[in-house]
Amino acid sequence: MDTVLIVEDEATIRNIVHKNLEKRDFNVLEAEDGLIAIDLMQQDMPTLALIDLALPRLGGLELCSWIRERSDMPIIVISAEGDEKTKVKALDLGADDYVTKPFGIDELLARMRAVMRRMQVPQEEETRIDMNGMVVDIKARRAFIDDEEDLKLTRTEFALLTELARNADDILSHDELLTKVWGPEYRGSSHYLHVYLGRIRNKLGTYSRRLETISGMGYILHSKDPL
Amino acid sequence: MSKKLRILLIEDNKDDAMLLIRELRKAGYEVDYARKQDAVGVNNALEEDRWDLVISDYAMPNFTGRDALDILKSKDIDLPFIIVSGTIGEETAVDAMRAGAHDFLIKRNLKRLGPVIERELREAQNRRESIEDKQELQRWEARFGKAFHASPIPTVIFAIDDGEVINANVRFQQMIDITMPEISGRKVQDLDIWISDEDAADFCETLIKQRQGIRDRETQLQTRTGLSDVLISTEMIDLDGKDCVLAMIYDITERKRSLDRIEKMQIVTAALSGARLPAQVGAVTVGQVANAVKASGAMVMLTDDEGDTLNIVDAFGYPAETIRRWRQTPLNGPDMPLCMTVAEGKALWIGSRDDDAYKPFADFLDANDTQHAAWVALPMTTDQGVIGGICLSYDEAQAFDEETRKYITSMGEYVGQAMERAILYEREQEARRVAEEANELKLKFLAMISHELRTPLMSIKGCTSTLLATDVTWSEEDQGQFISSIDHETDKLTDLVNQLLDGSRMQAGQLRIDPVEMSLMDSVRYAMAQLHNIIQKHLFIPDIPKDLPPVMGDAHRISQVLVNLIENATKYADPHTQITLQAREISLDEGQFIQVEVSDEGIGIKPEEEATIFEFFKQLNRPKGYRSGTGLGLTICKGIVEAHGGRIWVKRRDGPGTTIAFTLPLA
Repeated sequence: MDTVLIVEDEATIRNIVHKNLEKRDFNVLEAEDGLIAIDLMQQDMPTLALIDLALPRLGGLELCSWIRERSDMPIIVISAEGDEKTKVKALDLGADDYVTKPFGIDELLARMRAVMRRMQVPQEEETRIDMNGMVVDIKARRAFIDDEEDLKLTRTEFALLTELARNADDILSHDELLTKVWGPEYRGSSHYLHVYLGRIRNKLGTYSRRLETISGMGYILHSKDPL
Repeated sequence: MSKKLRILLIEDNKDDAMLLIRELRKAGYEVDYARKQDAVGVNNALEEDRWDLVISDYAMPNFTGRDALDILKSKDIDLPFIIVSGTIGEETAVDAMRAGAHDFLIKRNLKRLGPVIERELREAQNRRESIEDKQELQRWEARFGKAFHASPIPTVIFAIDDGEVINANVRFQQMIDITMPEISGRKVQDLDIWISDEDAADFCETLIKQRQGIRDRETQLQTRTGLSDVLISTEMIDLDGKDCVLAMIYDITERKRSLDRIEKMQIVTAALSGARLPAQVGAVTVGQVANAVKASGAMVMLTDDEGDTLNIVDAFGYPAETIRRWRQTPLNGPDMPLCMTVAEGKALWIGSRDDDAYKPFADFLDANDTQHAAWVALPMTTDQGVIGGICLSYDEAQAFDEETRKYITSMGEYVGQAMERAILYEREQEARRVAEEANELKLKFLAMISHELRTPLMSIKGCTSTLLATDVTWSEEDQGQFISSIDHETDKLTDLVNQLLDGSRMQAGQLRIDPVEMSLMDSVRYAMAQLHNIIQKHLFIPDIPKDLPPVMGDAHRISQVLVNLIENATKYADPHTQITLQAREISLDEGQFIQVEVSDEGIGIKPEEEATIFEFFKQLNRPKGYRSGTGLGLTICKGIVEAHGGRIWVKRRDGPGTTIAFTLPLA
């Protein structure tokens, strides 16, 4: 049974989410602030965390950083802050998704499903994509450059790079990538791509020149260094 | 080539005359002559014509060479006069020579005639030239004397051997305030003009011992007006055969001062143009400006917005205690020169403690500024009037001549213009800051409202979407709980909307209360009903005496104050800490009141924030993680309390936490 940690200072919201998840066979942990959440995670790491940003004692963004330093557990931020800057900051700090309050339970459940889907190890035949010094090992869920340096990608980053590698040398549109990596409900949310591709570029170092932005169309991952 | 010769020949014998002429022509002269043999003829010839030479016989029937010589002398004509005679004796010849004849020849021996004429013509020429030279010299000396005395340049003549003053022109005498009789015979190196013995010795060493002229030597001399900058140039002259020095002294004090002042003005204007804020203009004034006008103390003061107090912007050269005492000076307070200058918009010049201008300020200056001896107070004037003033103080008494006054006044005007510009700049900056802060507050407020609205809306949306979900079924108890949550969250939304409306009414000055005689406990009970859930995690201690007298109040509004204050306490104090509600009767000058206090053990309020927390939208910068409120709660509390005739404030306390107190008048 998957365990979901809800970190939310508003008791009413916590209670509603708790009841809904329990009803759908999740094991639920509750924390009303960041420090209690850390206490709980130190005892047992949940499968997924739902984190509000405005929390007493230790804020949601700090909590995201804390988790990301220790685990690639999926994080969905649930926040009343709807501005783009806060969303990008949360995603930069390691959140996998961001839902703005108020949202319906169905939307939350769909997003949880999408995030958890990205966690699944693919069952395809192809288990390793080798691209002249750059390797995506699908089975091991790891990617390397110079054949040995581990890029240490998070689940979402890995899923995104894998999708680009599978279609190496072809253009993938924003919506194709969003649909395949995050799910069809994310079409149009291109800021996810900006954040995640930025992070992948940083980790790729000199290989980042292989990841090309085709303005107004999408992205392309070249299997060789461009001339 | 033959030499032309005009001869007046005095001879009665025609043949002798012809003989003479021939002899002269033989000697190489081209002769032009007139022969006369009596006084009338000689007289007329001398008057009517010009001659190079007179040759005269000595003994003629009615006329003699001596007579002719007398006529020539009587006319003061210097012509060579040669006697050529056949009969004259030696004694007569000597007599004639004594009378002025230049030579004497015998008619039968005329061989010497040529050389004699030659010599006498040369001698005559020399004599003429000598006379002309003398006349020219006399004329020149007369002119020089006039020029010397009329010269606007102070000039002195002294002997090079020992420095004895021979003559000094009027300007020199005026320059050092001494008359010719006083100066005459004194040695130039002993005059009281040198700033030091070394300077005098150096000057005389160069001139007297080394006999070297001086060109434009720049030095300083003591003059009637004090120490003057001068250029000295000298020329060696011969005066009656005595080697002398003519020394001309150019007073360049004014020129130097003008140049120095122009240079300093440039420095000051450059520094002032770089000063953007009043404090920077103040710093330039007490620095570069004071230095440029050679003041040892400077102070810049500006009037306050009400125009009745002068505040120091910057000061230098006064004791710290004086600056502290003058920091804020009422314009109509002490007899301070600057106060009068600012009040009347007129500059004040106090050259010394003996100055009449000193008298009105004697008491003030004697008590406050004993270190200075002269003062200038200048107003800083703009189109809007006097905005302040500058005080400049001097260690020594000052003459403040017209030029100096103009110069210092110009400096004051520059400072005034710079200060006006700086004040406008500061105001503009302040207005911009206020506008930006207001904008930031507005944006923060909108973000806060968004957050405060979304949280209860989330609960409502969460509950409704849960109830509408078709993939699960809920027990009746669960459904009841969801609906109850919707109800509760709707109330929260309503409260929020009411707060916004109250805030808006307060801003418009339309917050209404309906006071009646009531007990504070009525409001407390009403508040507790709303706070029941909120205070669960804290240790809430109500401490209200049962025998409190009634107040005039609006029970609903007062409960709103209590709810706001206690809810704030729960937000900013950790769970399980103590929150106290106290009330007691107090006596104030304005009457009898009940003072209510809400205290917590939370993060407290910084002293610098105490003044602003009751302002609109002033959400405090709480540590991260503490939920801030709408920023309206305390403002509304203040509005309600003041509408009741009470007062609300942050009460200082020892230790952590916050106490907010407010008063309500008794019924």
